Amino acid sequence: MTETDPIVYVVDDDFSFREALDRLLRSIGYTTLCFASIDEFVRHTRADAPSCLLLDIRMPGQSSLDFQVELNKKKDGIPVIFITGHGDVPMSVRAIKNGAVGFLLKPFREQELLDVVREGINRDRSRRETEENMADLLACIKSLSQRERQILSFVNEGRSNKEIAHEIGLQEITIKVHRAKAMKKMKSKSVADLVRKLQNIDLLS
Amino acid sequence: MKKRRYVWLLLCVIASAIFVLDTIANVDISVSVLYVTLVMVVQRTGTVREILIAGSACFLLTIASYGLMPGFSLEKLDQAGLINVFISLFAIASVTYLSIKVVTSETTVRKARDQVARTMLGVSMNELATSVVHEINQPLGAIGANVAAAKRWLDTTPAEIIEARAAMDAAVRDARRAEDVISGLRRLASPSLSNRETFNLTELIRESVDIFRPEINEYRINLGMHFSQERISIDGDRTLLQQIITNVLSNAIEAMLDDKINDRTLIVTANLVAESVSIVIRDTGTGISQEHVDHIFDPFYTTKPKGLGIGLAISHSIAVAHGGSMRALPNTPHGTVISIMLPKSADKKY
Repeated sequence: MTETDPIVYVVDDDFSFREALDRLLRSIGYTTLCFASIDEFVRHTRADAPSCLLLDIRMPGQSSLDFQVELNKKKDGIPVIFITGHGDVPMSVRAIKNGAVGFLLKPFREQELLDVVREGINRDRSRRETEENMADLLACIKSLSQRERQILSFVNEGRSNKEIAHEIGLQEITIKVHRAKAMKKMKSKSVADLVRKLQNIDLLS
Repeated sequence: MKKRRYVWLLLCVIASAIFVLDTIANVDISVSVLYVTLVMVVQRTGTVREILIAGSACFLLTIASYGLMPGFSLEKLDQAGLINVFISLFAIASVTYLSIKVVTSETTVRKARDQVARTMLGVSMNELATSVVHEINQPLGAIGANVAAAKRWLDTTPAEIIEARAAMDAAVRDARRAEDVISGLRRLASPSLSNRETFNLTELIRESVDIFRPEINEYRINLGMHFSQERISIDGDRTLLQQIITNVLSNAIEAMLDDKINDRTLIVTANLVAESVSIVIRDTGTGISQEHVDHIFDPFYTTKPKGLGIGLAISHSIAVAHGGSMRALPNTPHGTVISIMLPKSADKKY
């Protein structure tokens, strides 16, 4: 198993249903981990891999919907797919509002399972990518000196070296040197690239 | 709606007739008392508001016709006429008041009756349907997934025969579970002891416990089995009696899966006591509170978020059909004790 092999977590208190789901997912080629209760799942240390959670909407003990809210609060972005039965419509609506990827209505078709799990894994993949990029970017920004940050924020606003030099009261050549170093630290080859990266970030904060 | 409008029109006509008669008739004749009939007619179909309107209108009309009577003057009030008017007014007011009372109490009764009807239907039919659907869908979903998995394992090259076989075995087990739900519902009313035979109870208990080996191992449950003798003969329907035992065992195991419970012990005993056989199944699960213990053998009574609530009800009716009984008691420090009493085999050989 390589680091990026996706994992499907199954949480259902019904032994035979859980095992059946596990079998089917394994036959499709997914790595699976099954739990009989939410608590067991919480205690498990999850691997660093794209994953999704198949969760029975009716669980004894802690309610699945409350658990979903808890995950949201903890900023745990694992995509949740609810396994539901008939008569669970109001609960399902709430789950979707809270950001569930989808549902698996029992009894389900193989294709429905494939689609919803693929969707969940894909969503987790792109979430992880975004998070990674963000972490990278924050590391880059952290490596900037106070002066470099100041200069880049001017660059970000589209100001020329001359203007920046005048604004800060330094020689234009000094600005150029700082700017080149800062751009290298930000791993940006062009101003356009820098602007794109800094789209949602305030450099000076 | 149209009919109601005609009724009101008719009432207005009658009211006018009474008004005219009352006005032109002699003071001594109290025609205005007839207004009460109008109020009574309104009461039959009207609301509280409508009765109030009709009553007030009649009240005002009575006063008005007294004032309009020929020869009426404030200085020379006719005493008999005045008394007549007061009697009429009193009668109208009383009838109006009583009519309102009748209508409000009728509404209350109707509301209460609707409520009862709604809850009866709501609870029994809706919840029953939902839980039956759930209990069937659960194994159905598992069968679908298991068969789909088996197909995939067979389609791989080389085919994964062992995995496929395991999936098919599970599908067969799930199908049996669905059958059990259906036959359980059918049996609930009257367990028919069509297949009576004499058999060894300890063997049956061993078999039943074996069904739960996977769970017993998975959840690290300590298991104890004690029989007063190796052969305890019973006359009865083997399948039905096995159903009681598996049902109680599955409840016991389920009650011990709570994460707060760390001493999971299941003890199954069977003893020959005088003329009867006592089977006792003891668990250290979450137990049953006093309020539930009186109802656990009632059909459709359940404390679980899932389930029909018919398992113990069926078990109980099976035990009774065999001439036996079933009881539930709390275990110490926690858990439940279920005891099943059955008459021992009449066969003198044992």
